[in-house]
Amino acid sequence: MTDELLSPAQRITRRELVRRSLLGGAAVGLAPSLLAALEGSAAAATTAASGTIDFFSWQGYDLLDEPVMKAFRKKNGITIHSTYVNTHNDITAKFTAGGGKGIYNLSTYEAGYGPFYVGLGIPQPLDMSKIPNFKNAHPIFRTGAIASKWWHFKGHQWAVPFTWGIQGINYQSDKIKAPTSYQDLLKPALKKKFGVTDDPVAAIVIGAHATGVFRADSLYTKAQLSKIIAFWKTLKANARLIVPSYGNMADLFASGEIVAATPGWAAVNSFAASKGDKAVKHVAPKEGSATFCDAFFIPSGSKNTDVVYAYINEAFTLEAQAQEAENLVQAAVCPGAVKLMDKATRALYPYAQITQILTKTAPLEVIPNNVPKGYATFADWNKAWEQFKA
Amino acid sequence: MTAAAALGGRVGTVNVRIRRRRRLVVAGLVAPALLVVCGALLVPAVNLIVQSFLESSGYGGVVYHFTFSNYLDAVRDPTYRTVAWHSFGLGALAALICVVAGYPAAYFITFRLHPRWRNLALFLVVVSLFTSYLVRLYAWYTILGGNGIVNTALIHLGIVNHPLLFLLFSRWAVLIAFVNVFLPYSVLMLTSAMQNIRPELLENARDLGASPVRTFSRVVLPLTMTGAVGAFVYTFILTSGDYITPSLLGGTSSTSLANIVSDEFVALGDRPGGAAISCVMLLVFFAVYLALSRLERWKGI
Repeated sequence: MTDELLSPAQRITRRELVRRSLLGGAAVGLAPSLLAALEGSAAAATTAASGTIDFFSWQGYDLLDEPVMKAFRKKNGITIHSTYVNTHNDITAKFTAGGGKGIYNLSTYEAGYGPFYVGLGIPQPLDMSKIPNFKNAHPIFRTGAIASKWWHFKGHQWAVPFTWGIQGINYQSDKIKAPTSYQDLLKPALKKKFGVTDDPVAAIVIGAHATGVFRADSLYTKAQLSKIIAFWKTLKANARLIVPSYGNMADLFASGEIVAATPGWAAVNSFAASKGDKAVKHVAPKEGSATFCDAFFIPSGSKNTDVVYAYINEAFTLEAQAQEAENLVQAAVCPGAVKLMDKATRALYPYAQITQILTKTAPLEVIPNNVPKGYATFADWNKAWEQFKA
Repeated sequence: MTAAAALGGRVGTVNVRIRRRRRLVVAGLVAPALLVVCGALLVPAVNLIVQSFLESSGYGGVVYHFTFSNYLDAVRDPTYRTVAWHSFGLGALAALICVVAGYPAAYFITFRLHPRWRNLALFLVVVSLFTSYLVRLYAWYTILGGNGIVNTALIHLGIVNHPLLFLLFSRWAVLIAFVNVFLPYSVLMLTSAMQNIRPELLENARDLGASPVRTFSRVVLPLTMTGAVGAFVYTFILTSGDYITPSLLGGTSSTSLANIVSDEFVALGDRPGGAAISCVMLLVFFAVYLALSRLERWKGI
């Protein structure tokens, strides 16, 4: 999406700058942020509780590496025990089949799963008086149609969105040019050199874009779903493997087994960089990409929630948001954080057009659980994806 | 006479007490294992079987209405059938290779090695099991990968110009990994079975003019059939139901029956559907075990 708006030279510059600032130079770019962060942390510490957070979600979303969050944890004696997921379905299963509720006290859901999860009784209503920093978030995430669709409905705030981004194609920038279309993956030069990620929701949305049937309400007929799966089967015929998880994708890039993968995730750039491969980049092809917005939620039956509230609240300080955007290579939800980002991170997403993007250009997608007769349900999506993988 | 009878009676009473005490001790020793088996195996298995006859009511929910439809779906669905053939076929092939390849190794360890070296050889077999399963799977990336040892050697030797990409991320890679992981177990089971064969039997066979092949087929094979069946069934069950190896090494044909079961439970939240497929798998495993048990009887001893 945003990479389309940037020239290739700008894209290279962005990544280089991001890595440089992460690995070497952070001092200049981050010094003001860090100082402000420490001040912010000190202020928040007066209300924070110490204890353990049992986190269950995506790698990186526990904000372990952000300096502000590190300082906050150290100052308040907070320990995080993290368990990472391979797919979003892992979160659903963990909190419905047992073994999740009462054990984990912090998790995240992607916007589209909100009504579904509330229906299943997974999150508990949040006490927003304990997350005052959420006021820093852009209004689109706090009030209005989008907020009331995904995070604030039935009279409660169920989750607080803290990051968003797009899913297109990850590629090895020192070996191939940035793909501009999903069709580029069908070129003979890429035969058996790319992977298809086992992420059914992102895949269906991307497939809908690629086949020209995309709609934000996710109402696809079974014929349209078949068309989408046919698109993926065409890609599969040229692909080397089905990548089981985004963590594994980073391993595959680092070991040189693949040079591209879709659905992609910009955070894989960081994962691969930590394994020594700093050339992995993410691009949104011209057909469109999947958009996601992840939100912190506290599972029903959670214990020691004061420390969780304090941690979530700290995650909405402008400094934490800026560092998280840089570390995860994703977009921040707080406009005030943008000015604290380095130039490269700031250029990653067109923050000035956030409303336009999330409402029109690349709206967040519905998880179709209750659909009118004749349309494919979420179960149909998963079943179709199961057939695709077989 | 009366005193003897009284003494006999007392001895009888003491014997009864001793027997009771022994039974209590045995029960005490067996109880923990029994509880674990019941708690960790029997109860979940019964729960699985019961759920397989219920109806799904959306994600994670069930309706207590008896139905066979989950079983009909499990055996009729073409996707499941295709994946089942692949999973059971690959499992059977891996088990067969492990047993066939395990025999020479076990024979060598049992009959050819000096007893002093036998324990060392068995230790070396066991050592290969010390590494984590996942680490061993990832090791195949560095062996069979495009930039791996095998491809690099082939290119340097001038045998190929480009890396052979089919070596990794294919059913063959999964099969190789299965054999790598389960061959040591087969060797151990077969060695254990062969240690019960008296070496004189082999000498007698040779003295009576039997060729090595005939000695193997008429003496070693029948006497080690229990170990062979055990090794085959063990490998077949674990490889057919393997979840992670096909995902990591299977390429574009990476789905196994275990992945389907996982998808039913995790992605679809269809517990009865997943339970029915699991039960069908169990039935297949039982059928294979029973068929091979009959084969064991054939040994002719």
